[in-house]
Amino acid sequence: MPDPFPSPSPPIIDVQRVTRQFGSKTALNDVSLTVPRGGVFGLIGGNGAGKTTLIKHILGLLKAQHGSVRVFGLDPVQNPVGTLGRIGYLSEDRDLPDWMRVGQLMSYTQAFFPNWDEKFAEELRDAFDLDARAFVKNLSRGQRARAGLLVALAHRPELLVLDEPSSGLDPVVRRDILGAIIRTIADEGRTVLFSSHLLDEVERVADRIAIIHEGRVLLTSSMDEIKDQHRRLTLRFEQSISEPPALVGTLSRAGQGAEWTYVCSGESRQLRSAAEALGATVVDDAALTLDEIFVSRIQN
Amino acid sequence: MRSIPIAMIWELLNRGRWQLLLGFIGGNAMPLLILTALKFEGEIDPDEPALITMQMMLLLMHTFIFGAAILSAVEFAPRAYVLPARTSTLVVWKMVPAMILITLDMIVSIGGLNLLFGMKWSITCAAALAPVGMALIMAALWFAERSPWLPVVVGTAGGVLGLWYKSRWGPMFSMPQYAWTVVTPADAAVLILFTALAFVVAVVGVSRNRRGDTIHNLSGIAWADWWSGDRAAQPLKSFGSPAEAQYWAEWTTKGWMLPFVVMISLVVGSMIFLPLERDPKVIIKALIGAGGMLSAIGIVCGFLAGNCGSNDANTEFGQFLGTRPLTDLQIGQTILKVVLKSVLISWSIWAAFAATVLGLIQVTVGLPQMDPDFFWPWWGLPATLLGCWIVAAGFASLTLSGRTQLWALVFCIVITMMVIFSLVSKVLPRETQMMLFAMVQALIGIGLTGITVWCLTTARQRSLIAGRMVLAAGCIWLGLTAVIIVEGLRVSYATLPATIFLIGLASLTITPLAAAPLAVAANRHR
Repeated sequence: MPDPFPSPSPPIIDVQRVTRQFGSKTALNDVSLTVPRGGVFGLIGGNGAGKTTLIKHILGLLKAQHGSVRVFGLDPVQNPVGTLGRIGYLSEDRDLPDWMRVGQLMSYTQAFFPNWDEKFAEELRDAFDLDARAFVKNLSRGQRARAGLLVALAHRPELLVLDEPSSGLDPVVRRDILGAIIRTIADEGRTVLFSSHLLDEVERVADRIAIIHEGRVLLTSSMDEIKDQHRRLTLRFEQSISEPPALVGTLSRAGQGAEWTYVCSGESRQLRSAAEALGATVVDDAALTLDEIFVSRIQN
Repeated sequence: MRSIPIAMIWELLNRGRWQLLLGFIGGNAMPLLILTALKFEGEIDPDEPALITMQMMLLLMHTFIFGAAILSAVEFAPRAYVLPARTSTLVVWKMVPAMILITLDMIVSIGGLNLLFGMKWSITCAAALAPVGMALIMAALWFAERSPWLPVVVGTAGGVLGLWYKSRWGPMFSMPQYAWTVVTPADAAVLILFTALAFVVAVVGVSRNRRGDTIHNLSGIAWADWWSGDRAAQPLKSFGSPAEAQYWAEWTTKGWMLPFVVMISLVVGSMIFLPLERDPKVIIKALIGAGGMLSAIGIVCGFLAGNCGSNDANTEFGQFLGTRPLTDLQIGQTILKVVLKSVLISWSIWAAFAATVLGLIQVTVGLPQMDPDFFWPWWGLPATLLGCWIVAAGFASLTLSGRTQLWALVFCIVITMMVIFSLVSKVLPRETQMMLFAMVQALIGIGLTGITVWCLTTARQRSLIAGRMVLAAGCIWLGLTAVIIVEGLRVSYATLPATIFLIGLASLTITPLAAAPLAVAANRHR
C-alpha cells in the first residue's frame, strides 16, 4: 500500500544508526528513524524500551555515541537555539520550575520564543483552568501537565514533542492533551511526535508509528498500513492436529484440535491463499487492534 | 529483616554510605588543615588560650558538616507514612541511629585529633552535644517541612542550642574563656531536656505531615502566607531576550542568597561581638577575618549557583532548563553573571560595614597603631574580592559539570595533601619539610595554570568562548601576574615557588569564563 503521507519536504527528524549505552546496558541499538514533516508520529514501546532515550537524543540532551541525529536538518547538540526554538516539549516527569507562579512561567517562557502568541496563551490558560497566581509546586499532577502543555503550545511550535503525555492522568486531562495534539496538526505543516504505552490513544491520533523494543525499532509504518498488514486468521483443519503447520508471516498462534488462530503479518488475500494451500479453511479473518499488533510483535 | 529498627538502620547506612564517608572526611578536613599548619610552625601547646576559640569553632563546624551528611542520608519520604508503624516509632528509629552515628563520629574524630596532634579536646562533651544538635535539627526540619518558614524554625533550634553551647565556654556573649571539658549533671539535664523537646516536636511535625497538613495550616502562618501571596503576585515585566529571562530566573532562585547570608552574618556577628569587644585592634582583625570568610561562604554560593538540576540534590541538568533555546555559552555566562553580581554585592556589604566600623573607631578613639606582626598589605582589600570570586565561580563551574566525582576528586586531593603534610611534619626534618612545601607550592601553581590554559583552549576550539573574551581574560591574568611579580620583588620574603603558586591562583580568576560553558556542555549533552 502506498505511503499516504509521502512528503516532498525533508524529514523533520532524521535519526541514523544511533547507538547509546549506559554502562553495560544498551539503551538504543543501531536505531534509525525518520519523522516526516506534518502529521502525528507515535513512538510506542513498553517501559524501558528506549523511547525517552531516543527523545532525549532528538532534543540534544544526549549526544549520539554512534550515528547521527538531525532535527530541522540541524544537529541539536551543536545548534540548541535553532532546534529547540522551534520545538515545544512536554517531558515525562513534567519538569517545571516549582518556585514560579503560572503567570511567571508564561512570561519567562515567552522570552525564549519569538513566535509566542500571547492571546493564544491566555486562551489556553483559561481553557486549562489554571490560576496565573498559583505556584507550580502546588498544582496537581493534571494541572502540572496542563501547565507544561500550555508553555509547549503557546509559541505554536513546528514540532511538538510529548513524552508519555497521558501517563498518570485522568480522562479529562488526557482529552485536553489529545485535543492539543489535534489542534497542533490542524495547522499546516506542523508535526507531533509523542511517545506512549497507551496504545488506544496512539491508535486514535497517530498517522505513523514506530514500535521500539529493547532499544531496537521493530517496525515503522503508517497506521493504515500496519492495520492492513496484520490480520487474525482463524483456520479450521480437516483433522485435529497437535502442532499446527507454519503459515508465512505468523507472529503467534494459539488453539487446539482442528481450529487454530494465527496472528500474522501480511496482506489478507495472500494470507488466505497460503492458508488454503495448507488445506485449511479460513473461518475468520479480522483486523487487529494496535494493542494486539504491539503485543504480538514484542512476543515474536 | 525482621524488625523496624533493623530495617531503618539498614536503610540509613545503605542509602548514606557515601554521604557519611564524605561527611566524615569533610568534617575532619578543616581541623586537620589548621592543626597541620600550626604543627608546621612548631609544637602545639594544647593549653594555649588562642586555641580555645578555635576548638569551639572547629567542633561546631565538624558537627555541622557531618550532621549535614547524615541529614542527606536520612530520608523521611511520604512512602514512610503508609508503613504500619506508629509515628513515634518511625521518629525514634529515624532519629536514634542518626544520633548514634554522630556520637561515634565525634568519638573517633576528636580522639584521632587528640592522638595525632597531642590535643586535649574533650570527647565526652562533643559526644554529648552533637547528638542533641542532630535531634533538634531533624525535629525542626520535619516540623517545618517544605515550607518557607523552614530556615526560621531551623535557625531558632540551632540558635538556641548554639547559645547554650557557647555558654559552656564562658559568658554567653563574650569570647570563649575556657574549654568545655566536663559534662556536669546540670549540662546533662539540659541536654536530655533538649532531646525530649526535639522528640516531641518531631512527632508533632511528622504526625501533621502524615495526615496531609502543613505548617501553613497554623493560623498565624496562614495569615502571613495570605498577606505575602497577594503582594507578591504582581504581573511580570516582559523580558527583552532569552538570556535576560534566564538571568531573572537564576537571580530570583539563587543570586540573592550570598548577599543575604553575608548581611545576616554581619548583623548577628556585630550584635554579639561589638558590644563586648572594645579593643579596636581586635575589632579590626575581626573585620579582616570576616573579609576572608567571604571566600569560605563563596563555596556555598558556587554550589547553589551552579546547580542546574531539577532539584537541590541532583546536579544533572534538568530537562526544563536543558530544553530552553539557549546556547551552552549563554547558560554558562548567565550563571557567571549571577555569581559576579552576588559576589560584588556581598563584598560591597562587607566593605561598607567595615568602613563604617573603622570610621566609628576613628571618630571615637582614633585608629590604633597595629602590632608589628599584623599583616594587611595594600592588596589585601582586592584579594578579599578576588578570593570570593575565585571560590564562588570556581565551585559554580565544578557544580555545573553535574559530576559529583569532580567534587569528590577535589576533596580527596585536598584531604590527601593534608594527611601527607601531617605525616611529613612528624617524620621529616624542618629543612626537608620547607623544601617539600616549596615544591608542592610550585607544582600547584603550574597545575592551576595548566588547567586554565586547557579550559581556555578547549572552550575556544569548541566555540564556547569568543576570541575577544580569551584575549580579555589573558590580559586580566597578565595584569595580575605583573602585580604579583612586582610586589614579590618589592617584599623580601616572596620566594619563587610562592610566586608561581600565586600566579597559578590568579589564573583561577579567569578560568570560570571557559570552565562554566564547558561544564554546561558536558552536563547538558551527556
